[in-house]
Amino acid sequence: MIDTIKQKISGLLSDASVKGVVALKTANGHVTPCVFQKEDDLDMLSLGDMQASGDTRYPLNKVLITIARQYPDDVFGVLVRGCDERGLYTLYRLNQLDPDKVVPIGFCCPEELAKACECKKPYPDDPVAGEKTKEIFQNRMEEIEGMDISKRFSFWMDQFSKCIKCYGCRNICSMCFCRECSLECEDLVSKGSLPVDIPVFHLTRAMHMADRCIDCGLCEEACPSDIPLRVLYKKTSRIMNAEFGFTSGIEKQEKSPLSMLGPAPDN
Amino acid sequence: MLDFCGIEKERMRARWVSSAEAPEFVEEINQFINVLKKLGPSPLSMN
Ligand code: SF4
Ligand code: SF4
Repeated sequence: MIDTIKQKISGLLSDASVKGVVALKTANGHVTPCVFQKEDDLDMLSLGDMQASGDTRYPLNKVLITIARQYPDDVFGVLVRGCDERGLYTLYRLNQLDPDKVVPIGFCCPEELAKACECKKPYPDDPVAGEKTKEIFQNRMEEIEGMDISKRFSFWMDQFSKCIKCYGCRNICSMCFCRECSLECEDLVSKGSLPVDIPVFHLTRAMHMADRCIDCGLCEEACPSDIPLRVLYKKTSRIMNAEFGFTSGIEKQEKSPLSMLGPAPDN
Repeated sequence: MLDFCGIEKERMRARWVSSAEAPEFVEEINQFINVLKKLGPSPLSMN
């Protein structure tokens, strides 16, 4: 798989159709994001996690947004898994990336990883390498819905009170690109003190993710307190789907019912 | 979302009332007060 991807990137770099490719490299025994600009460097290319979700999956779209803001006229390639592609579609919709300036290089995740990530679409629409595997459904949300209301309350309050307000969940999320963040607004979240304001902190983030979250799970992986954040955002996404038939990141030309006036769009 | 987190969803209400409709506003608030009285203190206040 990696050789096919190397070839693809090599091709893009050699005919100068992209200025660089945002991907991962192995350096000094660690995997980190890297912008490849020379074919010679491709020896270092890494695809990151393959068996289980670990610490080598990165929000490459977030790196791409930072670069695209600096070099708005240049075209960049980006390595994408299924989750990253959902992210790209969402970022196109939210005008954070220009689809004409992005060349996605997609690959499918192996089944083992798809299961470990509980991924709802473990492949991009048009993969360069790998075989498409089945989507995985998870039932953690239904488990919580099945509890009675007071149990649900204590479940979430126990979870939220573990928060150390590190902002890791926000910082790792490619869909969190705002220059000003409500979670830093002192009228909502008090500054310089712990415990964090609950449930305001976590519910504010959940509301803002309603039509954005692409269910990549990076936030939950990053959370040092193991708060099941993804389940919270799954719930907001589920409401969006039930009310408006909308799922963030599945269609390239998607429109969000939250960013328009008038009747809900056909999705 | 409130319900999903174990907070009665009746505790939140959003209604559109024009500034010219004072009686409607009073009626709405009174009704809401009754609902809240029945629900008792919020679980959040006991945390
Ligand atoms: S799962 Fe978490 S990190 Fe991924 S898009 Fe949703 S909120 Fe952001
Ligand atoms: S990553 Fe976890 S601990 Fe850090 S702010 Fe987010 S919820 Fe809180």
